[in-house]
Amino acid sequence: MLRQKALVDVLGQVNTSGVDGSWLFNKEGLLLAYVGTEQKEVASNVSSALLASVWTALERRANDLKETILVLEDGVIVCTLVARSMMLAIRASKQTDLGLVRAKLHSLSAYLEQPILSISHDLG
Amino acid sequence: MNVQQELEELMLTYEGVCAIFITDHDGGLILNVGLPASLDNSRFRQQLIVSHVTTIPQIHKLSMGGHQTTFAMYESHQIAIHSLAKYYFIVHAGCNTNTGAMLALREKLAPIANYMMSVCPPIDGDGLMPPPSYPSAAAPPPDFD
Repeated sequence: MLRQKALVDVLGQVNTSGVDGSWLFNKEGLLLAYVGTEQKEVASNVSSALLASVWTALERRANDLKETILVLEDGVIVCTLVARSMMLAIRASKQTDLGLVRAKLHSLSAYLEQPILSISHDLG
Repeated sequence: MNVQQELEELMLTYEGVCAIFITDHDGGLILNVGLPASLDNSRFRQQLIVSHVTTIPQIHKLSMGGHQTTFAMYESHQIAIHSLAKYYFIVHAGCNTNTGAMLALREKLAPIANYMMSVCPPIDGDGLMPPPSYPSAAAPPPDFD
């Protein structure tokens, strides 16, 4: 099984150097874990649903979507798939170098791949 | 300024960029360079515009400020969609194109957007905001579901 405390610890490791939030959620937008500063206006479970919705819209026209980057006025959100069934997203401030954010996303995604694959198999 | 020519030059400057097209915030095509004429009304372009326009209300609900750029990396290609003034600049490139360059293209497209705004300003004179009587996909009403 995936231990929640360990998962939160792992997600929290990327929250440095301008990165202030990381989500793990499924493609339906249901949140598994969030670590980071809570936004006043939008709860983390709402953000995950919105990000999943954006992903689904972009994936609708081509099934081979690997990664998205949303550049907004107050920050950047990068998002990728983990183990084909889960999604990992990271929020960073606008000043953070995008290469660093993507590197964190890719290493976290690679680290989580095997544990999530194993629980996917358990569920399947 | 010849916008079509400027876009063609930009497209040739950035290796791997194969098309740039400009739409308004409702998805209507304004200008298109790179795609062959036979693909002008292709499903590809229409789906791309529609899928992007449907994401805008969700992105605004994240409460992280206005949309600037959406970048999507697919196995076979990459798409960058820059919101500039009241236009979307959609850049389509191959999978080996430099991602940073596609994002930085925004700076190069800004003068083009400004020129287009000066050629065709909104009737109320505000160069950045659509007239309040015309709701735009870029700024959904607060009660939008």
